[in-house]
Amino acid sequence: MIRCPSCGASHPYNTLFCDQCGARLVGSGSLASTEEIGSTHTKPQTPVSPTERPETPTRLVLALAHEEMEIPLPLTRKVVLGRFDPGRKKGPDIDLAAHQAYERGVSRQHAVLYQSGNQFYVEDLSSRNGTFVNGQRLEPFQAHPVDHGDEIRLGTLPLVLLLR
Amino acid sequence: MSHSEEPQADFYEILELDESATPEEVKRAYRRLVRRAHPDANPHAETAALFRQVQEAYETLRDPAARAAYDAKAESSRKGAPFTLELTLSQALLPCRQEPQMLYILAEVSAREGVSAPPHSLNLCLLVDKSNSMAGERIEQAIAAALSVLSQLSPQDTVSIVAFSDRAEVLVPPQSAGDRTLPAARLRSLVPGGGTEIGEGLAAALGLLAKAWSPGASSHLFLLTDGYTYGDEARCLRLAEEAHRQGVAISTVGIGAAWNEDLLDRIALLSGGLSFYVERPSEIGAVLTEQVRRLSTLVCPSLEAQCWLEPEVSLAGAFLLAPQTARLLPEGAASLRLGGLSLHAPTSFLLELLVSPCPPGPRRMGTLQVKGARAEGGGSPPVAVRQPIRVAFQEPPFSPPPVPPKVIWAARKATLLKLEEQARRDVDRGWHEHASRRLRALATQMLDMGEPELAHTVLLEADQVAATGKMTPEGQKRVHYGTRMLRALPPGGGGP
Repeated sequence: MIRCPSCGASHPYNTLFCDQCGARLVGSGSLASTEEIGSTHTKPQTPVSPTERPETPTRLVLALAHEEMEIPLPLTRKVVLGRFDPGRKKGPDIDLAAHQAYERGVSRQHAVLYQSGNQFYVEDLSSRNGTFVNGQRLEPFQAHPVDHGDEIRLGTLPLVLLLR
Repeated sequence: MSHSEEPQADFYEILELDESATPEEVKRAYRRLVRRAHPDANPHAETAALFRQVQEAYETLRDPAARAAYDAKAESSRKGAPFTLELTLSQALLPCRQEPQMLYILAEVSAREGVSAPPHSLNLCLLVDKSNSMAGERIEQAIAAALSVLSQLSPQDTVSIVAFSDRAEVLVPPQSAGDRTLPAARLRSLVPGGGTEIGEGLAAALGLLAKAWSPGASSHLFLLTDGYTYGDEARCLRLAEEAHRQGVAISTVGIGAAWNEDLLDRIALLSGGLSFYVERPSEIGAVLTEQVRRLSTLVCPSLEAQCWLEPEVSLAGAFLLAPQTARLLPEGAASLRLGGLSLHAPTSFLLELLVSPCPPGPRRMGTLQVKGARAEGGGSPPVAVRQPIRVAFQEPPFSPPPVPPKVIWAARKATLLKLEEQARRDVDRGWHEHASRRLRALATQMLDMGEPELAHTVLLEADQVAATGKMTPEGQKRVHYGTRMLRALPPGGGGP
């Protein structure tokens, strides 16, 4: 599978255009071809250095691979990813309940994402089903650096970190 | 489909192969088809007949001498085909991968060099909406357009005119196009009134065309309407199928912004016609006369494509690109209706194939066949032209050859059509943000394709959707038909 660098939708290998957003995916040499990002079903791969990383990112988004949607993230503070439980008073900063979070094994307080210096980090909050970066499971409460194009999987919910 | 009346069975068609098939491929095709058609596995009368045909075809094609004799006999008819078929693949060399991958095929059907549009007469029916909403400039322009079509035709052509509202009224029964007195008088006496029931009109028009049918004439129906038909959409589609069986192509012209483009597009596609949108009534005449002129340039009134794929390949999408972009509907056994072939402009379409992992080496992915009869008809059997889809697989790493620019252009046109379809679906579901974003993406692509005006229209609609949750009726039509009428080739004719 290849993932659209502009909207995060998944497509079979060698797909020419993203039919969700129209972006060119694979083509002649004149245009940059996309990198491949390991899908959730393949073995962990060394993330390919993405070519589209902007010089000075102004926005951070999480692309939902399975439903071509993007969630904008604030760059300034720590954000907790998880799912809101109506039985609890406090929810996470980013509620993924509307994106099959429960079915896909996302915990209420699953992981935290933050920036330190020029680097972004993700940290698992001892979630029940684990946090994975490019297929590699994280130790709870151990910060793991992430960058543009990395896949962050919460349980079985795949997200792609994109800098804009 | 029965070919029993044809003088000789087409053995390659039966085995779903083309003339270049190797003995090994013939054997493989035979084995596959036998499994499908064996009476034990599939005890129907039809499969029994197919089984016999497959046996007979295999007996001839497996034997080099018998095959050579058969080819020599069939060659004359193939050489006589008035068109050629050219395939361009996105990649002929595919990497071996553990996952499925996409393969794109651009198919171009062109009139064979030296072929001229055979002189043939037309059996034409004009079906004009006379419902209430047509009153005023619309009906006046429709009448003027009909009159100018009449003056375009020659005395050998047959013409009939039907007006419809919720009932159909035969204004002019089939007659020579040479005599214009009655049609002119009848058209001028038209008084708009009533609702819109396209099915009523179609049924009456098809009846007249059948009555006036002659072997040397090709039959066409032009439907002019400005309104939604209520409750008879299914009937309309059945009648479009019926038209296809009768050999009648229906072209549709929608006037203004209040009609169902999905229905009119589908009627045209099912019957092998084209569909048009006119914003102002004054444009009706230009569209009609242009299309009637196109009819006289048809080398084949109706082309049909068949795509036979190996088990490791599946058809993910099929799009007609020229003369108009449209999603091709695989009716029945992957037969794609391409409509008529003009002498001057090739018909092209794109196949999107999903290919399962394959071992290294050359591989046949399938066969594409395009079939059509000459325009002069007269019972001449349709001729089939076939091309194999051949690729090779190789272990990576290797640097893949660049995708030909015209395939990229074709895939992009298909993508824009999908975006436009999706945007409309999103609007219907109330997903305004999605719809608006998709329209913006569509606008970006159009700008990139050298269509700044269309891109601007699309952007306005994106804003409209974001603000109100709806597209403007005019904007929706402009975007839809603008997307469908994008140039068939990249500027500069397809690159190096």
